[in-house]
Amino acid sequence: MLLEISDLRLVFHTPQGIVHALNGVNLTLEKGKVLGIVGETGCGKSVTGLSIMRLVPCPPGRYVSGEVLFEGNDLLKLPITEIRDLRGREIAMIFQDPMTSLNPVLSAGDQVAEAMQLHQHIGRREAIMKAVELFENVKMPDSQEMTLRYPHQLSGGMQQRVMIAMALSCKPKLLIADEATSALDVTIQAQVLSLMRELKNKTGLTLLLITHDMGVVAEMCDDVAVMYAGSVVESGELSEIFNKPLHPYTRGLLDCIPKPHVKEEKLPTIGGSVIDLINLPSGCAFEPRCAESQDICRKEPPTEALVGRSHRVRCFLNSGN
Amino acid sequence: MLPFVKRRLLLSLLTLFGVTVLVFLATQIIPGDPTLLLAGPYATKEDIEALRVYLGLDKPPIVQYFMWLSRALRADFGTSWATRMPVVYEIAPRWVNTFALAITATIVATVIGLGTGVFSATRRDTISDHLSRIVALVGVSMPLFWTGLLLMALFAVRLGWLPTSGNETPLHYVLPSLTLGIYYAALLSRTTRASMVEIMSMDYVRTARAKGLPESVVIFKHAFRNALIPVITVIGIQFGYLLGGAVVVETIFRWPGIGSLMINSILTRDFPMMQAAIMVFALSVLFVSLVVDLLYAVVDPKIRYET
Amino acid sequence: MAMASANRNLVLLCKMLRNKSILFGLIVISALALMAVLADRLMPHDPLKIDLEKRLQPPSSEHLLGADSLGRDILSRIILGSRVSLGIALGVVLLSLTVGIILGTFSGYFMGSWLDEAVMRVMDILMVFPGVLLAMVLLGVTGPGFLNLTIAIGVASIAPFTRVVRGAVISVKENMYVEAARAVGESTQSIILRTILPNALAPILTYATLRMGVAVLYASTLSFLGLGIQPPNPEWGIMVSDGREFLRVAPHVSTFPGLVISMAVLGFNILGDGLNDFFNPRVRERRG
Repeated sequence: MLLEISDLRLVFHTPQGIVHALNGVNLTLEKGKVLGIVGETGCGKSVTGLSIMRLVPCPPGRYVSGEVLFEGNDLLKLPITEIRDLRGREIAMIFQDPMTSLNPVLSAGDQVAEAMQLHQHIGRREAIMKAVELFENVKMPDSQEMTLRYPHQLSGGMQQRVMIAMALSCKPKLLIADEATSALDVTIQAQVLSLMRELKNKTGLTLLLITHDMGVVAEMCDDVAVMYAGSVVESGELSEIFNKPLHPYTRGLLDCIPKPHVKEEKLPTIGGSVIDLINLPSGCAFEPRCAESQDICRKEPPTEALVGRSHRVRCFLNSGN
Repeated sequence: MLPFVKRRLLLSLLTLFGVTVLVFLATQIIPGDPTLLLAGPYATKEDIEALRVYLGLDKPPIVQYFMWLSRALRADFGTSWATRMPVVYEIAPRWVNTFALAITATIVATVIGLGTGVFSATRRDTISDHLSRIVALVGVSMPLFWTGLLLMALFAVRLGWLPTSGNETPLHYVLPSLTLGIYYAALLSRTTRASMVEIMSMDYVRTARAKGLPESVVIFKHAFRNALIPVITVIGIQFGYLLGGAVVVETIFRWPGIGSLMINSILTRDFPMMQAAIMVFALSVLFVSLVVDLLYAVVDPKIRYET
Repeated sequence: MAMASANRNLVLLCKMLRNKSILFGLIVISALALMAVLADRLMPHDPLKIDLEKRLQPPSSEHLLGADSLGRDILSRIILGSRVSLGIALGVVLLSLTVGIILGTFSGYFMGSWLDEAVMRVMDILMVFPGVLLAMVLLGVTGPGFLNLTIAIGVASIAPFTRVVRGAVISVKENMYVEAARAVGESTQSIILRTILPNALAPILTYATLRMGVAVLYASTLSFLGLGIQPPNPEWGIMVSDGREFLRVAPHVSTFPGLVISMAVLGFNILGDGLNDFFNPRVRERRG
């Protein structure tokens, strides 16, 4: 097991109150697989990704409990110098908006070379040469010339390729992609996704895809985890989740995908609005929006239950009651 | 980058031209007849008329302007009404003195200001940050002349460590440049901090951390270089203010510079001197702002590689 | 309807007052304003009364802040001086704000036009001269005095104000609701008065506050140099200048007026900073 997150709880201390961002997240990720984390804005999926790299600013954040085991080591307990050693070398991350994620005053080549210079202890010239190679791997035209360009001279798709090249420069074991294609337009999105799949097949890279787009999940992922209000409400293999969704929220999400071949009067939605993470209810967090809720849902939070080979649900409707 | 440079130079020249017009106009609206002053108490009517013609005061203002401009371009600013000597002789050495003071003060201000600004921003919301911000706030609120007098009272008068006037020895530079430097350091500190705080929350800083770079590299190579861009502009603008502040400091510490010359020429209504001093000030400010803008182009690739 | 907007303003005011900087700044400024208004009743002595026997006396029970080189009570002169300083600051800001809003709004709204270019070039020329310098030159031409001082500093403040107003108008203009108003066919005049100006008010107000502090600074500096308010009028800057020769024997003569200047400017700066923080919350939290 490459990555194992158990009962991760994170809070943020803000002037408005304590924000309960993560409330007992459980995830597992096997080497060579692709795991997708889906959920709406505010559900905690990005924060989970950031937590693996320990990029969450603490303060104002604070990990209340839980572990993030990477190859058996708890990343939350390592000293920051060891974490910096892991970053870029063993675990890499790419972000949503490549334009703002690249430093405007450094050339593309320099930014890609930086990680290699640091982790592989090679000089600048050698690193830039390797960067050219990497640009070719990510299918950038004129790879030599591209290293000299500045971010504002590149298109969105190119910028994201630079980010990918940067992330993969030191051949990490795990790549976390936080909404990596959400800021790109659809055709470019398809290109970037197919590129990622190709790279994964070639190098045995493990991917953690964080997205709100079920389509991306369907295309790329082996396993899925659905998050709501800071915890994983359902997880399992792709086919299990898509064919037999158990949690009302998962079902709602899948229902929301417009079906072109079915005539519908109104597009289905999930009622209610995004939850307030400062004042969490004492029972199930999804209960206020759930059409199938029962009394017990209001009183206690449901625990995780294993239903099927690797299919887990956090819901009273499915724990055999 | 070349079109940017050309445009900038053109703008500077245009502004300079406008400045000359303004300066000339300012002295036109002064009441009173200068010829009477210059001619002296023993002049006859014919002498005064001759003087008028010589000074070109009988011609229309536009002609006078061009006469003045052409003389100015030949570095001939006329004769001082107070000293009866060519103005240039006074201005040149004084200008050097002011420049020396300004450079020293700028170095002090930049080192302290940038340093405390970055320090403050990286320790945001800690006690050191709050303290640093309060000190900068107070520094910016104290009038230059008061700070100067206080420093003088303490270090020169009471403790006798430093001299109070003149500019002979390096020691003379300490109090004046400190007075100027402290105020502008406070100003720069606030600007730098604001800029750094904004930059530190940018996505690319997070990317840099995600690569595993040590925090010092993240701060200086990634954040600071970007924060520097607006800060450079501020340093350039500040140089202008610094020259203005130099006027006060030169008066207090009897520094023989352009600033004290300006004040004297205003108080004694010595207009040729005043004109020349203003022109020198304006030229300096324009020159520095041009240099800063060019520096800006060097630091910001968006300007360097205009698509 | 009127009640609703009055309530909204009240809520806004309360929120503002919760900001510590705004509160502190307002307290300092109000204290100064009160001092200026109630000067006649607060002054323990006649600020102009010369008493050579009490020359350069240090602080005592009779003269709480001491006496100056002509035996005048420093405290009384400081109290009356607040009237001068605040009056000038108010006059300066009113003058430069008015001109600045007019020029800046037209310049910003018609960004890129010949009007904008012309205004900006003129502002460039004015801004070549550091503030104090420009005011100095103007005073050199016009001569000293309360009105001349106010006008001189006011003129020197026009260029920076115009820039700020123009910048604010441009950034408001970029917003969609302005496009929407235009698409509906609203007249330019109406758009400017009802949509753009109210939304640009925040940065303009903040800058105006900071500029009042600058005005106090300039006024005292120019008076210190002998170009502004003339003796025997009590003005903080001249008072510091008076005490220059007596730094060794009677430092209090220069120290106290300078302290008051610093406090006044500090008050405006803190208020301005607070307003800036209030209108530009820069809290970025990464969640989801």
